[in-house]
Amino acid sequence: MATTPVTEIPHIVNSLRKTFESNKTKPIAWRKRQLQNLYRFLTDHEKVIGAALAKDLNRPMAEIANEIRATVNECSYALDHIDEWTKPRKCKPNLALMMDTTHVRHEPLGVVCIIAPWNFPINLLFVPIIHALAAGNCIVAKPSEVSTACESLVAEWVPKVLDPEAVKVVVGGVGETSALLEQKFDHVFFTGSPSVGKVVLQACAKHLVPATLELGGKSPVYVHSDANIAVIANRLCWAKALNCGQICVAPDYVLVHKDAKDSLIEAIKKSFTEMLSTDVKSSKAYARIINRNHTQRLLKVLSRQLAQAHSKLEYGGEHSVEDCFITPSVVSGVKLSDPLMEDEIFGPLLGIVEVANENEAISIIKSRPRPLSMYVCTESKAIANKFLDNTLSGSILINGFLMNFFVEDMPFGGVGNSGMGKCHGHAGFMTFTHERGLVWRSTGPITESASALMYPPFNSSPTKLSLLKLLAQKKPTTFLKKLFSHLFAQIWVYFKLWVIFRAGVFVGLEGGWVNVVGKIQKLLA
Amino acid sequence: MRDSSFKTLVDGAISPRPTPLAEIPTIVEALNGTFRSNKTKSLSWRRDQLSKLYDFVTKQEELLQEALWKDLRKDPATAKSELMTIASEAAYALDRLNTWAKPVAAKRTLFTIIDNNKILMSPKGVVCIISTWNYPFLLLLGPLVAAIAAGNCVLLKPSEVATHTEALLLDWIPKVLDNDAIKIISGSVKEATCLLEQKFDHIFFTGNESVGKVVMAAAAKHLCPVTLELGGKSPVYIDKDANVSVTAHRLIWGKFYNNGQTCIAPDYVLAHKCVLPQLLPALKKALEEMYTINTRDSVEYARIINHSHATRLITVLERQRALLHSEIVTGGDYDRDDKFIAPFIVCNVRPTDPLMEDEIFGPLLGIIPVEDEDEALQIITSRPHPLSMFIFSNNKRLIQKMIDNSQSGSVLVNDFLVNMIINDVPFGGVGASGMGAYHGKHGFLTFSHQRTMVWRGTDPFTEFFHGFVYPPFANHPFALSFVNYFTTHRRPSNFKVFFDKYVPVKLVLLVAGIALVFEIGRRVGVGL
Repeated sequence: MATTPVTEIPHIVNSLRKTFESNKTKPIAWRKRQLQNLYRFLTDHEKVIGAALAKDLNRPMAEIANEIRATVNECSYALDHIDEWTKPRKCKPNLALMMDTTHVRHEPLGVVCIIAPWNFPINLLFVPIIHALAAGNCIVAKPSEVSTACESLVAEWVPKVLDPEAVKVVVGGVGETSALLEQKFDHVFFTGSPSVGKVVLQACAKHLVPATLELGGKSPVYVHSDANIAVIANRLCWAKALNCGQICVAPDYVLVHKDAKDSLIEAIKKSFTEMLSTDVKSSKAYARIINRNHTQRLLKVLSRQLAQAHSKLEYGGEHSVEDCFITPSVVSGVKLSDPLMEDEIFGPLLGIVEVANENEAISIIKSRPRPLSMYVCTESKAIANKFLDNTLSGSILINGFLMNFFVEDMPFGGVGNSGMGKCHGHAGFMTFTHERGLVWRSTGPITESASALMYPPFNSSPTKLSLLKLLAQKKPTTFLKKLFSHLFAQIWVYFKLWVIFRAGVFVGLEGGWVNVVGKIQKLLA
Repeated sequence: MRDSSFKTLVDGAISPRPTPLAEIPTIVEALNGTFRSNKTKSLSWRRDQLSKLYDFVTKQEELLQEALWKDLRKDPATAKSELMTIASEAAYALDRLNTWAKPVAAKRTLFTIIDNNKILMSPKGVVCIISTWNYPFLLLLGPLVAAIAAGNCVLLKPSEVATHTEALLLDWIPKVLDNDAIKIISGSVKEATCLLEQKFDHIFFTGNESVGKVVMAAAAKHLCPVTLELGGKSPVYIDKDANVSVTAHRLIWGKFYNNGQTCIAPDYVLAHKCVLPQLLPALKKALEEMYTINTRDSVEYARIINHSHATRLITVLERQRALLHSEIVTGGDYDRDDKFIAPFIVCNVRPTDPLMEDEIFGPLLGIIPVEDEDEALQIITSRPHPLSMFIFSNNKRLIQKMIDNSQSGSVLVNDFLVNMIINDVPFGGVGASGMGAYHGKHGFLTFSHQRTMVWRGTDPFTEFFHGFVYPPFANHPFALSFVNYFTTHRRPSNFKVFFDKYVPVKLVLLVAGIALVFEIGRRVGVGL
């Protein structure tokens, strides 16, 4: 794939800015047309997309379907809700501004830059594109240079599918990305690792550009002694083997209660064997690592870990660098200072750390940077609530893995080291939108007399201030007032029902509908 | 009510002792400890702190007014409206805290239909609020209300430029609010730099653009999200059919309120050239009505914050006055020692003049005559996005056109400043005028992390459906089509789109309901 010349990047951004200033992207009809085109592309060319994904990551069928479906769902969700999202929101005015129009308008930000990673090259590129389009922005899309097949697919198809004046693709590596970040955008949406995230954010700070960072982090799993081990092992193995562990929300390490440790390890072995058969390498259900560099990095971590005397390889360990293949490898007896606990793993290695109880697990999780996701496996509500109250993470799943990714209505994003900002559904739309407050006052005499309360001089009329205070200052609602307003609302509902009922009785006693019609006719005559 | 010991503090020590640099990391660590103890997460704690803040602002009104008078010579009314805004913000948050903090149920898809899906509003942790001097109470305590409502620990850094208010806050905040969770430090650039080296979970900064960039760059090192409330040159467009007398009154009020030292003050005026002959005398008249002929003696006319800012403004004024084409409408007097500059209005300004260079933040107002709204739009859009923009017209189509073709933090039609006092309208800039927003629920969301929760069952029923995604079965054509069928969000059929668009379901249900009750009533009536 030919990379975009660095000298051309400023021209690309300038041409997009011109398109944005021409207001072409603002009409809702235009946005809908783009989304519909994208929807059609994703559904009609499923096979082409699937082939690219299979080439890059050797994806099994189900995982290809998952990724495309999640993207398509996001697209149709946006199409369904775009009218509702873009409508100006009416604000509650206070007494002083009773007669004015106060709205919040949802304005597009301008030209935005979307930088996608290689692990879900279709979903993580197109989902932000969908929301940026729904919000009415012009877009520079930068697919990852690591997933080559998907990169050329995007570069080939996006100009055909989406308006080439409003959406442009930049192809290239680190050099092109840094040239891109030197430009002044109105928003940068980056998905990737925390270290690159910092670089992106620092580049953004130079131009005061707001950024959304979807980063990763070591997402912990806690398995309590009362967990339904067989079910949990199935779900854990599914989540870990999916895309060969190369998911930002993949379970990274397991903190297991000491009573559940042995049974969990046995169950994990069983689940992996069931899912991937005994010959993992020829299993069609198992993806590959993206390239040899990453395979070597993972193997290095694994061998360093296994060199520790206290750790034990429970499952897996087979590998082939040529084929970019490592079996899911489960290591038990891992300590917190071990190689497996250093950086985000992003591969099929799983360390199991034994803890005495849930409090130890909480303190381990708290002592590390905030993860993108965390998983608590327990049947006890009290234990789950303890984790909910005492930890902070991008998302938290109880007895489930990865599920939140597939719910469009849930904001998806990290906190602290795992990122900032949100995507998916309405939250994604809001990421690319500026909420612009609009106050529209009249210049009529009534409004002006209210306005005049605020004009100096004040010494001539001391009542001015107290009147203004009455109109503009809010007081906390007292309990009695709350009670009364609640009661009044109830009474009002019943009153309305009673009026209708009485009208019915009245008509009934008078002898039905006909009489009323007759009476009206009489009156008119 | 008045604390006599405090009075001596204000009169005597104008510059409070800066917090020692070595202490700052310890303070942040202490706050982290408090946050870990979960003390700030309980709703009762938040409500208690908010009511204490409300009481402080309303009961110590005179004391606060005095500090504002000493710093900016703010008259009691302007000071009161600043305090009133804080009190309203606190009261609004107190009323709605329960609703805001409640977890929101997420819509379920078929795939997650049996789960308990919620969006939890979690506090972010330890946040830092850096404020500025023009509204020293509002711009510090306003964000504080939002941060407390969201359940965070807060480190406050008031501006060192407004010395009296800084001293007052340093003295009172520890007395009024929970000292474990809300701390305040004093100091200038050195202390602020040291502060920004600490790792916070959110930084809320109000100030100017150049410092904003420094704050964001410092925050980027720790991957810390920031809210920047910056300023910018907010334009006013006055159309030919605007109500001139009302416009003049509102313009004079909006511009010279707090002596022009307001981030959303009108910065320059683009006036339709037909309206100028009426506008200029009207402005003079409104100015006299509000601030009398001798502005210097008017109680309501505030002063510039300090000598260096006064000097900066006087330089701009002199440079503008030296230009031959500038036509002075009123003003031009100043007294550097008193930090006084008379309202200075100048017409025939050109877009390249000194008045049009930086944000003015003082009582200087330039008027640029324009041919029509297109020229005005062209001037507005050729500059960075302002924090606010103002349109004065009675022509709806023109107003709509101007709003649709420009971008700004907020837009006001026929008035100034009033968006500050509506709690439901988000307040914040875009582009060069900042990022992020606050006030009301937006402030609460700024300081909250929306944490998503999925709680699945492990019962056989749930597990049966979950089994369809496990390999190797997941790759079986049957499993593939099963999962596909149940999880694909389909585009609605044309019939549904048509139905949704043209059949008001609520109205149909309402009519049917009324008819039903009516019918029951009739039958009961017949029975009687």
